[in-house]
Amino acid sequence: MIPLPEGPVPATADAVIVGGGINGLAIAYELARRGMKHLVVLERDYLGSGSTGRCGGGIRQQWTTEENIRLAQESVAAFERLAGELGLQTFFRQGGYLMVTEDESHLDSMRKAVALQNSCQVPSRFLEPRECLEIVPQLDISRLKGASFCQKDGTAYPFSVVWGYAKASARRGVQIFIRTRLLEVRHGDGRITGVVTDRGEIATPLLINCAGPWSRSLAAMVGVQLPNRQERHEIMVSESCKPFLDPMVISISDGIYFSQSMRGEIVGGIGDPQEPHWDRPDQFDTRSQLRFAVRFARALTAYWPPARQLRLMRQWAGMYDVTPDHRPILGGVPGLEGYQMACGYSGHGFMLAPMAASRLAKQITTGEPDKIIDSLSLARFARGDIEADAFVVG
Amino acid sequence: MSKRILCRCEDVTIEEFGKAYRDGFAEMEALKRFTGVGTGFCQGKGCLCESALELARLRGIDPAQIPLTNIRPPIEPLTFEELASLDLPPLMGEMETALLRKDPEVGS
Repeated sequence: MIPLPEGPVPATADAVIVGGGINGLAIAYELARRGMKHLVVLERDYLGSGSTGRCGGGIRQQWTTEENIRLAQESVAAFERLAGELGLQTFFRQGGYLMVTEDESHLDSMRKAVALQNSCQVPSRFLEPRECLEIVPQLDISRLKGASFCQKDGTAYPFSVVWGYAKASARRGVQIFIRTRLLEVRHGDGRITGVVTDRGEIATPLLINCAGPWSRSLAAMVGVQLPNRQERHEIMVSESCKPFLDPMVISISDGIYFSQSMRGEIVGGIGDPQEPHWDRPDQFDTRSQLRFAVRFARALTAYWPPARQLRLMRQWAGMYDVTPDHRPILGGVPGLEGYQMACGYSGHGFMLAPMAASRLAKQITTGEPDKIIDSLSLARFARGDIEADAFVVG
Repeated sequence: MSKRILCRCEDVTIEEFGKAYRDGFAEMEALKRFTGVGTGFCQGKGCLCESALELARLRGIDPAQIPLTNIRPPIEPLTFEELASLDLPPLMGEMETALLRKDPEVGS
């Protein structure tokens, strides 16, 4: 199902997809499903090792921009059928997302966001602080000013989803090479012609950049400048306990999020405004810090006091690939034929990938323009058509 | 027949580990996340080496050729109350000690 790297890469391919996370594998699967042959996925380490496998597995539709809402809404529908379609248990569970705030100033945008979500048929609703107790009875609501809740949001196990896409892709003939390095991209006369890896060269007319935090440096190899910056974000799991917590709880005031996995662990993280922004892979540092554990423990016990006696079992870190407006970058660039990308998810690639992949694969195979991909193209930054999503957390 | 347990915390048997291997989870990074070995309360102290030995046996190679998964902090689980009571440390500087040397080939 996930073959070990053995032997050289094929000499030719119809497309080379760089990145064996959810985006690369979902796009490989969607292209193969639409009949494309001779597809190769390159992964530098193991599947899901970049950002996907390090994420919290949250899937929400409560966004403040229409593109993000639409992509997330379609992705939720995809997650609802993915286990059956891919043939692997994904541990998708719709316990809802409870988004809370301690700031009066957020209430207006929160109500507007709920109205926009409702106009897209996302069944979210605004809650007064005391109404949150109907969803999480032991929540400390003393500092809360308001919340929004959507029952159809949820969580899945990122590795299962990655393996599911890998398995379904491999069944359709996609060749997946793990522990394989991309060394060079061959291009000239305004088109992609091939890639050089540490397992040999592949002649290909199509390169799809799904390299997450490495997407900026990969784009630079073909002369495309991305505005992305990369940030370390940390996350942890607690020891397991009986199921008690239905939703993902997330605070747009201090950036904490926590949910309970189907194994009973609390999985959660918290953003740190002091983390530096990086733009070169040699700066990336995914070591764990005691600072994170202390900040997370303080915020968790403040929102949910019964956690005091629960134990933190393991922590790790991953990279966000962050764009100036916190929305992904999809599609190609003018003047460079055969270059496509799906990157810059700003910490939300796991939840948005299934439908971004589906739309991008459709556009690549049919040539039909896609309104959402167009509005999320790299060109939007030059056009100044930037509407930042206000609810970026984690 | 009695079970042969590989990972006590997550209740993973040698048979389950072998089945996962045959299903295509052919290296420790994937076996850890598919079977759960090393992700329980002991965080691999009781099973990580045993699992690597079993994988080496399945693949018919020298155990020294099996890369292990990362050991992650904390060494022993700590309550959130204990952690919340600590002074807030500053952001970690780059490459402070030889032990924590950043190794891009290994990651962390």
